[in-house]
Amino acid sequence: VGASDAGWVVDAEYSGHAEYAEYVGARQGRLLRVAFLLCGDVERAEELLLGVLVTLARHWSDIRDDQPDDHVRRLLYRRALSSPRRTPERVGAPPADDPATAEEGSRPDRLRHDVLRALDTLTPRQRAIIVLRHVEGRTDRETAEVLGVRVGAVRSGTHDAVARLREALPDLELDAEGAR
Amino acid sequence: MTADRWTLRDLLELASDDVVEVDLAGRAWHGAAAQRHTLRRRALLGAGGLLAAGAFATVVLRRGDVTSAPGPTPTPSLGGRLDERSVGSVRVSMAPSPATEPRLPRYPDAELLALPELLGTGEARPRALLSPDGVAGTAASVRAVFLVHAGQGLSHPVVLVPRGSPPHLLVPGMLLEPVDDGTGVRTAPRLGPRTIHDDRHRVVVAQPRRVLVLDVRDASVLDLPVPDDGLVDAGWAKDGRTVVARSPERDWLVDTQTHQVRRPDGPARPDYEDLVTGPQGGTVLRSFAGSGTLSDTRLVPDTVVEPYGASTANTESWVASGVLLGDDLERATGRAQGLLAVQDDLSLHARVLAAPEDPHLVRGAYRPLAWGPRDVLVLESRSTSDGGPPRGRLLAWDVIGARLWRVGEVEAPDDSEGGFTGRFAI
Repeated sequence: VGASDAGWVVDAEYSGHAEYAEYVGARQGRLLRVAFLLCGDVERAEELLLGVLVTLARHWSDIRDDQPDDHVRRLLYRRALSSPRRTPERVGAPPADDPATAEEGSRPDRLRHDVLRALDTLTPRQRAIIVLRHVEGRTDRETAEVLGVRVGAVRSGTHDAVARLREALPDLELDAEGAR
Repeated sequence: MTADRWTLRDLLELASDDVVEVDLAGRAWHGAAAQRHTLRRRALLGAGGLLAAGAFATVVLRRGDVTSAPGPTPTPSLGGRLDERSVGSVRVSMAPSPATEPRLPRYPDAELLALPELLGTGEARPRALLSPDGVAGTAASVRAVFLVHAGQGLSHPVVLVPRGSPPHLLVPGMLLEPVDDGTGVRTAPRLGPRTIHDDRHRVVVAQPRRVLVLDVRDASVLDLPVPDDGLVDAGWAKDGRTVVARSPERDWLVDTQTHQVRRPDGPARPDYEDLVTGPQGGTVLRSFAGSGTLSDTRLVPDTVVEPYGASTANTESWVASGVLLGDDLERATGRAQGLLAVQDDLSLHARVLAAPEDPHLVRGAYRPLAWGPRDVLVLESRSTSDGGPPRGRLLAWDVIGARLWRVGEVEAPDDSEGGFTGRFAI
């Protein structure tokens, strides 16, 4: 292997960098929020998404013209479901107990805290179903395809998850009809 | 949206709206490049090692007393680097004969993994017993578990706790009945890659109509009833609390915290992935959730094999299983059995370690035991010599670098009371 050959290899490896960076840059904020909703922890979400994006980069030249969004979504959810489950540290009082934030501005923080605790009561699959259906707006069938489960399992999972969330958030009137 | 009426979508958006965007594109791209360079460097080092070790290995092989008949495709073992062939998209590494295995280079991470050169139940007789108080502190880390005969078809576990004193401890409070191996033969229970919990403190064994969970920290044995006479094996799911128990007819999920037992809708397995023969005859990679339930299936291209025994997966999405090779692979390699490793990435990458056609190797000779660091699979190779019963040898296969190392020997089975049954897990 001559120097020019070696140079070609390196150039080929990096040829898609700009395109890849543009693709990821346009989506990483949204993907990180989805990853966070799946695992409930910012550090784990970053770790999870980074792993997915590394895999995407390794295969970028093969799949950049082959609906990479579908690949990324599938990898993200599958890895979230198969990674060891750690219960996020969400112990102690909600933010509203802090006198400095106890006035009107604290309500979203309290609510955010309560919602995350409610999500922690779901199984990983229920969590994934809820995020796919209600955040990403996927249909039951699309959700089933991403997770590799039957459509019936998505419907029952959605039903059970919403029931659990309502139980965990008794002070809220929860409208779960918004999804397709 | 009123003050207390929320759509689920709005609530979830609120829950994640303070997640700060970070730039992962650059880190991911460079991470991928680093992985590629690491793989390339390892491949080059392997080739360099091949050249450097060539003369030495030639001397060793000439001096050695190779007694077994060579297979139809002889495989020189040069510094552990194996001959390779491509069959479709599958890379096949040609394993050496059992007579050559002892002269493979020693696996460099064996000590790191606390794997001794002789893996067995220890020499002390009578055996030391696990105290009713258990094993304290950091010493309570189980490296391996073995079953020894206890008379009348029964068996006792012996745990290897390398930092214990002594390290081999028989568990007197766990007397195991034989189980039906699926062919009507009653044998000591099977142990597999998920027998030992990831915390290395707990061990699970299947028994007729129950699973038993040993915790070496307090020597407690949890008896969990399962309504199935035919349970043959049990393993820890990745969530750390569910035990997946199996009989030839059905699978069971046992929650070790609530003691609830249920049958899943579909198949269940304790590891993230396994390999099975699909309905059309191809090889299918199945993915499982942390609780053991099926989450996905994918067809492995170009790979018609018949997997047997338990598969084992690692966090790099590799899964391995013992296999009987299908016609295409057998025709191309002249070999009929081995191990299949598949990486479940964006596409599926298949590697085969093909066992030689050697009269000393038993059918189903290779059994995957566990994954070591850097995509190295620790396996058991079972062969006979001098007409004796099959004996195991631990090998380590680098599935990417196509190298094979010797880890150590497995104690010979012994049918006498107190003798090793041949059942073990690491």
